[in-house]
Amino acid sequence: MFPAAIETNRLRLERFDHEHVDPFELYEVTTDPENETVWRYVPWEPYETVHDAAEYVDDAVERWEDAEAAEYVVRPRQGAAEAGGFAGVTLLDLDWDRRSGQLAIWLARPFWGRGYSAERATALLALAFDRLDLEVVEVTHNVENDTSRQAIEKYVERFGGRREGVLRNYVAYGDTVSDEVRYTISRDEWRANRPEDLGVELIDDPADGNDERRGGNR
Amino acid sequence: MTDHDLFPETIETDRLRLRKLDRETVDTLDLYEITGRSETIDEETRYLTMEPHDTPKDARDMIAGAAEQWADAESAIYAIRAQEGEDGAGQLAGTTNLAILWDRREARPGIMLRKPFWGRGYSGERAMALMKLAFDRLDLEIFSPAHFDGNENSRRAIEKYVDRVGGRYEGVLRNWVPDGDEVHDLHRYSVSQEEWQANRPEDLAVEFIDEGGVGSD
Repeated sequence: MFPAAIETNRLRLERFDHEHVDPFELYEVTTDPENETVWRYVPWEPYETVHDAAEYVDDAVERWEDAEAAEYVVRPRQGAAEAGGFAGVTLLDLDWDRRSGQLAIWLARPFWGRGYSAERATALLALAFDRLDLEVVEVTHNVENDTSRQAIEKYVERFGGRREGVLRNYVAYGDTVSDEVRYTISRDEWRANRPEDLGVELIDDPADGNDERRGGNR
Repeated sequence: MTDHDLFPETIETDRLRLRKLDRETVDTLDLYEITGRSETIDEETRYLTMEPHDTPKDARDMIAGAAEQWADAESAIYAIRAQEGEDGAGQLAGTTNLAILWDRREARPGIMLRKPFWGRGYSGERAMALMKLAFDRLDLEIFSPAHFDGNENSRRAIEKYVDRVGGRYEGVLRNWVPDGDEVHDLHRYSVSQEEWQANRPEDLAVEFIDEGGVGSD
């Protein structure tokens, strides 16, 4: 159901599984002091041990197989700076009852400020609407997270979505409960604003028995 | 005195008496009269997630489910009755609940009120009682009422009591409530603990009565 990889102009999203993610690399990136500020406003945190990182990969594989979430490692494509490097993790979390999907991402510090968040959002929106036929895609950020706010406002506006409001005590993680700003883009808004040439290619694994489909270029 | 349940079995306000919905206090067939056989049930549940009951078995299951959620401290569900002196005193006027999302320190109220009891301000009176429960007793941070698009009665009632205690309208959440083949949008409001403490009515007449008749305040 989910493409094994998605390519955009500058990024390649690869299925978050043991074939594409080395737990040692995941552990190293998340515990790098340089990335300390990455965790400030997101419901992720550095892994305590490499074993925790490996278990996280196990969990992602399970969510994928249960069609609960499509999770990808984000890597710059050949030709880009730090090509092939571990830039971060992104997912489309499915809420099938609501015909809704939620976007989430964290990017390692060296990859901030390049517009990667918006580029991968476009890729996951193509997956959500063009392939999975969802009605709504949701994204939220902590009320104080200005970096995410700027990135989100830009792509939500581009695709005709809207800011819904501040939801108090919306996300609980660890000991904290976060006030979040919620945005949505509907399928209709997507169809009305999606450019002909999206520059997104959904790539299926031939081993899954699916024909290769180009979700972004129909 | 036995241990307090997290939720009081009875809550009394000026004009209302809320009593834990269970088999001892509510007869299954009485409940079915209002949730299933009543001629106004379609109108009363039009904007609610609650479906009219098709059979008395549905009413029985609702009571059984309420007991389970109460025991697990997931939701406090009450039968609403008007006090002496009110029109229709003692009759089953509806049901209300307070669902608790402990990880978010959040309480979500819900209500189904029979039409003869509309327009009396009962919803607001019951909301004040549930806010007192959520904040003063359960020490939660957020009380978050909501209504579907088009539900003008609930909108007016909620706006009034949210405004009174200094809360706010948060926005409309698209595709929020799955309902058969549809997914409804939901208008959400919230009141914080701080807003409640700063604005709660001074003369609030709400009494929690725990089993054995021991008042908690």
